[in-house]
Amino acid sequence: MTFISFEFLVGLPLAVALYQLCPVRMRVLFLVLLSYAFYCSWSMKAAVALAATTILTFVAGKLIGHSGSKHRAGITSLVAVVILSGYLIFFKIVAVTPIPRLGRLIMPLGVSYYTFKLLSYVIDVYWGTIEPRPSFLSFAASIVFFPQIVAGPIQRPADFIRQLPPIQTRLSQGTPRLVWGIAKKIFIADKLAPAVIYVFGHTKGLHGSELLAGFYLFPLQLYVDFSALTDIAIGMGLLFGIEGPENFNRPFTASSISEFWRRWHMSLTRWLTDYVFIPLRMATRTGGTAGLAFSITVNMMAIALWHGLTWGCVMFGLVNAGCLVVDALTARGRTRFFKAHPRLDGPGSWLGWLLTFHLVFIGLVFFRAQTLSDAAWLLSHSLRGLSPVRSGLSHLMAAAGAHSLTQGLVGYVALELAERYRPDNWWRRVESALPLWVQWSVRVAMTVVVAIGLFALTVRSGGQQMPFLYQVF
Amino acid sequence: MATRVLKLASTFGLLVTIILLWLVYVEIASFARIWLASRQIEVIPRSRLQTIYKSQDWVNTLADEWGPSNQLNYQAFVGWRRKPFEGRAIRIDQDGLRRTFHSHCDADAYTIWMFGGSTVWSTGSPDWLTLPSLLGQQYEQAGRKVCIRNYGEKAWVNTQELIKLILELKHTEKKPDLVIFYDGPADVYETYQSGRAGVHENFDEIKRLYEEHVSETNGNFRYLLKTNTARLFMEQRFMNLVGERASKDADSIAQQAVRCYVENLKVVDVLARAYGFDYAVFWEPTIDNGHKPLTPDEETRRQRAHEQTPGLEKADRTARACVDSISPPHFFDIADVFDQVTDPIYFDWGHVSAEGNRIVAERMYRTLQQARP
Repeated sequence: MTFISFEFLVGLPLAVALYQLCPVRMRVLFLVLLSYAFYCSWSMKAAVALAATTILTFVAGKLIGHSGSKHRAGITSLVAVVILSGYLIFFKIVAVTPIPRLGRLIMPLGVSYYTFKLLSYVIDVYWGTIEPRPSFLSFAASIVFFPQIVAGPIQRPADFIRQLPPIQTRLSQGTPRLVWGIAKKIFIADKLAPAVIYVFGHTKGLHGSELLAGFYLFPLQLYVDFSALTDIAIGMGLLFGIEGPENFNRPFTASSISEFWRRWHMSLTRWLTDYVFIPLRMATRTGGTAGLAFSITVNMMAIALWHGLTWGCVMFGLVNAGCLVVDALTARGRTRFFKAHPRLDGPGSWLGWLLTFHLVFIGLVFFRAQTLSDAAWLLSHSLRGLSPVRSGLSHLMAAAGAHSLTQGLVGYVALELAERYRPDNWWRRVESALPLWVQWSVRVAMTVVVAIGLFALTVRSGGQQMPFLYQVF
Repeated sequence: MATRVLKLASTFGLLVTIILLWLVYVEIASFARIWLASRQIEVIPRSRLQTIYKSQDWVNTLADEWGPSNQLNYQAFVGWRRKPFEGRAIRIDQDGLRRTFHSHCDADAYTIWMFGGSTVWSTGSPDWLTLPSLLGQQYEQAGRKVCIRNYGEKAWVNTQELIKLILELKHTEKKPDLVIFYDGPADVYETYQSGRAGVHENFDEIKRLYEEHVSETNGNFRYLLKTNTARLFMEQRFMNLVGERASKDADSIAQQAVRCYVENLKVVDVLARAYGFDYAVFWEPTIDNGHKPLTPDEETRRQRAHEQTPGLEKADRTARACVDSISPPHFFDIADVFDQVTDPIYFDWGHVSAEGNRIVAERMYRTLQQARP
């Protein structure tokens, strides 16, 4: 059952209504049961594995918190971290290299996300930033919470548990966000997908403009698809009274690679910054520039390999790590230069944006291509044979459907504009100055639009929809 | 105590109300979903027809007439046949047969009966560009006038065609000189869909409709199965079952389908002797079972077909190899007919354009001339 399947969307209103009816003290239990029911619809075995790792981490947290000695706490946390990391790495390996005796193992849904939540709990308890949780139910809810289990955002258990028991649900904020996410997925990401599938499925048979179109379209599809999933997760979380962290902040407007990574998949990068980069940087601070470069590279490779143990991911990590190291090492010089030449600041930002945009896209080619040689072909042949643009693009249009591609691109532009100008924020600012009857009329109209939108999206959900790109990790 | 009971009762009442309201919501949503699906009855969308046929002035007429002409009558033993229809691009007579051009049905004309599914009926082509019409044209160009009857009907499998042949032989005064079967992949699809060979397409759905109707005379709650919610739920469950079964049993599906097909041909052989007609059986191409260089659009359609019917591709290829190895009498595998064609031909998994019909008709004519000049 996926978030955009008919069964799920039609069942969601009942779940929310029953949750509203549920006494506040029972709500955590309700969330755990509901989340496990959702998870079991994917795989019972995976649900057992999830429950086992949750129990193990909870017990480890108790042992670390009440061990009495720092040494014993250290050993316990180390064992827990090794087990949890091993569990994650095992499934990452199995995903690329099937192990004959174990048969065909399927990676548990959201294993990369919930393992990171579990790891952060163990480390936080060991560092003393949080106390071990007295309630297993609250802890389990923070790990299995169904809106976030598929593809995050990675919310730290402490941040989640702080909001328990959820007294107030936030339907008026959650429902529009949910509808917005589903609409983004169906009307933009899935419209761009056929062209991307075509280019990356036939890379070596294509040249010039078609490859170039694939080069530019995939990052757009990935961003819309993943941010749609995040919108759905955050929206659904609000329906159950839980506010999740944001994952994106208009990443393609970044004017440097480090800024891009502060705007892209923010919950993952923040996690790795806190638990990998900062400890590593502390340990290597005496190493100067080399220490910084090493910390950045390890951190970036961790981000890349979190997605999968493939050569494509390794290259994706190396390209980004290289760019980040250069960015970090030249940061001071650039700042000094632009301070000395303020008139060049504007063009510099534009140039930075253009460069970042393309460097990120080059990295993503390795991430998406089926093989390294496909990626190399795409990058080396994109600018060759560009002259018959019309015939190349007409092939692509025929393959992907001209209507679909146009709709996807127009949708993307509309999305960028909406994110740039945020009409919702503008409305919030002007709302209070308007007469009460106008405020209420707009609110009622918006509620009706959102309700009809949700109903319409429910009716046409499932079927031809592509799976979310980020639900495989 | 009384307050507690009252509170409990009100909570219970609220719970029941919520569930009832939700059931109504699900039923309305299911209705809307089924209604939307029923509006997309076009096998080949208008935009596809426009892309393939470009400037032909009859494209819109064909697209307009597809829906109204796609109405079915129940027919004994064979299940369904199209209702009579009078259009400009599509015309169906009182017997449910589509109009065939280049057909000259005089009393002493050499008569050909063509059996098959929607590819013989020629979904996506106007009457003058159907496979039977273009075969008639081949004969005409060779200076021979023949009478061709198009017995093709959508979603028909070989057993239905055989039964229709028996019925027609019984009732028709003018017996055929030649009977052509152009099929195969639909039989594999049917076995794939229902899990058993020798039944018609959508067997489980039609069986359920019949059994529900019969059981209506007894008092029970089966009417609940007629709700939109139940229909949608069962449809989904059925699709999941088909997908699971097919991905496991592609080989067995292919073997069952071919066994049934070959047994049918033995019956045709007996009928041919008894009624004195000749026959030829052609295994038709699909997007999967030939080696046509696919256009990007055809490739996308092939991938989409694989997603929608996982395992069918393997069953289709295995069945073709299997029937080729048996090679029954009068059997011709022409699934390679498009192997040298680079232009777009396929609308979807099996339906082809008028140009595809022309290529098949040419190959059929050539094969028939070589087999029985």
